[in-house]
Amino acid sequence: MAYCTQAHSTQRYSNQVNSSGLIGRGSHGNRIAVDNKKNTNNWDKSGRFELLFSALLACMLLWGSLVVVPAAHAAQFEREQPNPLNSLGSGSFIVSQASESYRELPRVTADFSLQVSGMVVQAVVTQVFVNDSDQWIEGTYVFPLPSDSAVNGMTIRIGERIIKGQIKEKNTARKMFIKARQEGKKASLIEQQRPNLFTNRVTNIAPGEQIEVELEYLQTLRYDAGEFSLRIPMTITPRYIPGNNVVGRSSLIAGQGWAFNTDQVPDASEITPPQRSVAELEAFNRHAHLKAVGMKTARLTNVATVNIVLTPGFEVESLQSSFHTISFKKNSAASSEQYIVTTKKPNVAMNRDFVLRWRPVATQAPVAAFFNENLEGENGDDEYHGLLMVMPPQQVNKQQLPARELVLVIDTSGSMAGTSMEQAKQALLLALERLTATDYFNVIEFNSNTHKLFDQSVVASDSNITVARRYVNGLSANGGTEMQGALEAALVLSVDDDSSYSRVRQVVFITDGSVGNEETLFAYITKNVQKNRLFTVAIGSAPNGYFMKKAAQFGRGVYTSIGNIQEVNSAMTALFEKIETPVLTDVNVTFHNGGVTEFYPVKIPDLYAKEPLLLYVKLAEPSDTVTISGEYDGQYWQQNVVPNWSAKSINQSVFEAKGYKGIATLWARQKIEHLMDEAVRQGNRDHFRDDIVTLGMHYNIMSRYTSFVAIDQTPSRSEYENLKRRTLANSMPAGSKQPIPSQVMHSQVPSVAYPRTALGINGLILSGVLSLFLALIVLCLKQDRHVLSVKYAIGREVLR
Amino acid sequence: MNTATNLKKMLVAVLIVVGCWQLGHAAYLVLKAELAQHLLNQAWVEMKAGATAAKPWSWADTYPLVKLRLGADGSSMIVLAGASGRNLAFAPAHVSGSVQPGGNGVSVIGGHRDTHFSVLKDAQVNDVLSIEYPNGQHLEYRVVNIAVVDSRKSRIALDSEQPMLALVACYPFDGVSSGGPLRFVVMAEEISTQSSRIVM
Repeated sequence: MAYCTQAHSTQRYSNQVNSSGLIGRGSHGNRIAVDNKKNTNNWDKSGRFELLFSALLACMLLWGSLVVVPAAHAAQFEREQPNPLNSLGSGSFIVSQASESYRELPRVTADFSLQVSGMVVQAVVTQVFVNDSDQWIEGTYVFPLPSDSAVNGMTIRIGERIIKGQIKEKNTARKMFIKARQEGKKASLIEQQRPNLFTNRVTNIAPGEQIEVELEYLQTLRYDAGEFSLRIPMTITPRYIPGNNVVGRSSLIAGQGWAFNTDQVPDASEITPPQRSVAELEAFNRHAHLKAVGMKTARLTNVATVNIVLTPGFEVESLQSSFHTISFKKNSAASSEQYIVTTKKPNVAMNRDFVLRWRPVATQAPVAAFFNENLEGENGDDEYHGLLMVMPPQQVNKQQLPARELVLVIDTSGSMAGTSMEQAKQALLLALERLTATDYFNVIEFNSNTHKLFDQSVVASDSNITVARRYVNGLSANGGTEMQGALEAALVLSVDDDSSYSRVRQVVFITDGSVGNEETLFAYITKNVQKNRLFTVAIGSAPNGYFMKKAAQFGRGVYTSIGNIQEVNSAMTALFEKIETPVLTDVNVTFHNGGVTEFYPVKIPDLYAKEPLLLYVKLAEPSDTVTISGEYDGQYWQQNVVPNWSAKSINQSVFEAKGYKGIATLWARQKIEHLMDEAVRQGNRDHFRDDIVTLGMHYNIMSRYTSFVAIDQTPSRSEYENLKRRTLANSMPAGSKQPIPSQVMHSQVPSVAYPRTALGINGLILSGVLSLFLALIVLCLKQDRHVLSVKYAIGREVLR
Repeated sequence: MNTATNLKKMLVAVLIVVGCWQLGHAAYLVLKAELAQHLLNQAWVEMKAGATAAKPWSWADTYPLVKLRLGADGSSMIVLAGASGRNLAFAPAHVSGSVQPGGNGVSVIGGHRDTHFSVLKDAQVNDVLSIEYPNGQHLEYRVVNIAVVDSRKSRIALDSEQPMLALVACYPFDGVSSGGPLRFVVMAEEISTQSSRIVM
């Protein structure tokens, strides 16, 4: 903050030097005129000008000496030091920042083609890798996908050849890939690092060659507060890696990220790809455009095209994109209402998530939906998979809220620097406004350390809120993301106080979630959430959606996201409406005459206002009625839904489709998620490894333990040619002011950047003195201007 | 004529206001740095008495981490946790990504060249510095190297087999503007544990 002020004053200071220069010349010209006229009256005055002028000159010299001399001095200092720090016995202390040559990096572009129908998204992502260098290259690309995506298909295309990828157990796939690499065969291996973070390795790309990797995934739409939405993540916010470094990277498929593996994040080097600044990529692509003859030949990188065919199943009232300008047209050829949506610009920079939102006209808002798919089971019987969506009725009876305690947590780590911090602060200030005089509240800030504004929550009096507001306004983003400390401060009561125990404790956690130790945090949340409820607010252009969603789920709350400052108000208002409205609890689902049923989520979470119940089921035979019950605001609530398993019919309240491709896959994806959650709860990461591998292989989907691998059968690189391994860079998120994490790979040592350690007091004093001095000079000039105008008049007389 | 006079009057007024403001701001920064050290000393006393992470002022988001003693006159200053721009305005601060003072590895403490760390310019190789924790733990360091580096081209490596201390200030010390790329780095290695080991 102080730094900012300094920058301004420096600016102002140089402006003054300019204006002083002008005044100097002015007085000089004046003096010549006086001399020519030989007006002896003014002789002593011109002498004073000389004095003033030289004083000014002296000022400028002084300034110059202060700025220029030290630089030379520094150079001299460096010469005088024969022993620079890195020659010290105990090792090298100064690490040179790697300046990677990007010409050697393959370029990557992506095409997202989505079919949206009802509640389900079927997506095809085509990543195109181009090797512009004269080397054989293996490119590693770490990329995000939606956190609930079920990746169920992969194909690579090399020129005319198409090779279908296979799902394999992770280690088997790795072995196949390494073998292919060594034999000089083109191959691609896709692994899942996190449910929303994947790695694609493409090996043996020939100089000048282009390889396309096509991924298919399925996803359920988000339906919340009467609005459907889908999000395509495009880049990642650099993840903070807590813990102590673990030395040793010996694997043949080691990550090449900027971070070291640590005891808390064992795969840190795989989830920390290099990143390039938005400005740098823009410059690169602008240059590529200039050199290109047509659009197709432009050698762009980190850009995407988005094409969405949207069949909502109802009449759409509004259709918009949060952060991109889109164009859409209604497809009149389709039988039901359908829209073709693209971005207005054909290529968009992959520096922020793409979000599409649409809303049905009020009368057609779906209150229930059912989609099913029948698969042939292992022993010849049919398996019935279904996706059931039910919207519990909303009773909006505004009533007295129970006494509550609102704990507002804000992430002030380095990754929040920039627009994220402004959004987070704004969100927090809005939350403060929402408090009533009987509420208790506290504000917690965290980066490398956690800091509570008040030792214990205080009553939301005007004075306390003023203190909080001042505190929030003064926050700045810097440092690490040690989130567990913040969770501890927010969730665990330090004092056992009876009065605080009776209050409902709600924690609003505002962050970009850019951490690498998600599961440790989930385990902490589930162990410590008790009666608290945790609501996460995702901030920024590329938040970690997986963390946001699961943290809220383990914390028995909901999540929302804010991507720009305009969204703060609506998102926070919607969140608070949820927080302040009663919740549907003890939700129970019963299938009648069903036989064996298996549905996910197994334990249905509490449902907040305007939140639908989503149920993924597998039945041995179709069931005719499903009963859903629960407790809402102290009253028993029950609803029967009759899904139609055979006929395809669409009516007002329930729209359904038979033979809906992908429902079985989504069910399996949910089951995997359930097993992973259980593993977190049991504190044993790999507890369900075998079950997940079986599921992945059977349903052909990716997971932590199943990967896709595709191998070209004919070798293309001979053993005499070298293969270079390169990690592709992602874009930094738009609006981020976080320093770009540097690759310290070459030196193999962890390091920190230098702090900023100057206030510029000398500059302030100098500009202050100069200003006052100039004021003095201008004061002295006062009379002479009068002389000048008289002289001017005389001059005109003479000319006449 | 009149407008010219008025313009000049305005110019003079503006220049005087700007000049006073700049000088005032400089004075404010110096005062803030001085006053903060005073308040920090009070928090330090509290912490020595047993309070954990005492806040020096009610809205502070940091706490005194250690006391640093350096220079021939043994001038001491409180070091805050977390080298954010805000903290640095109050006191030298420990870069949170680096090692805690006393731990194996390099502990980085930054300070403003024009307030607290202006004394660094007199540092000499073999000077002795000391670090004191509120719990009484006392560490002594000997300066082993002094260098000027370009912060755009390098970083401070953190691994070391023994506790090291890196004191960082902006350079040049009499520079006019802030935000320059050069840094003055004083590297010191711990001696107290070694000597105690020898004694024992």
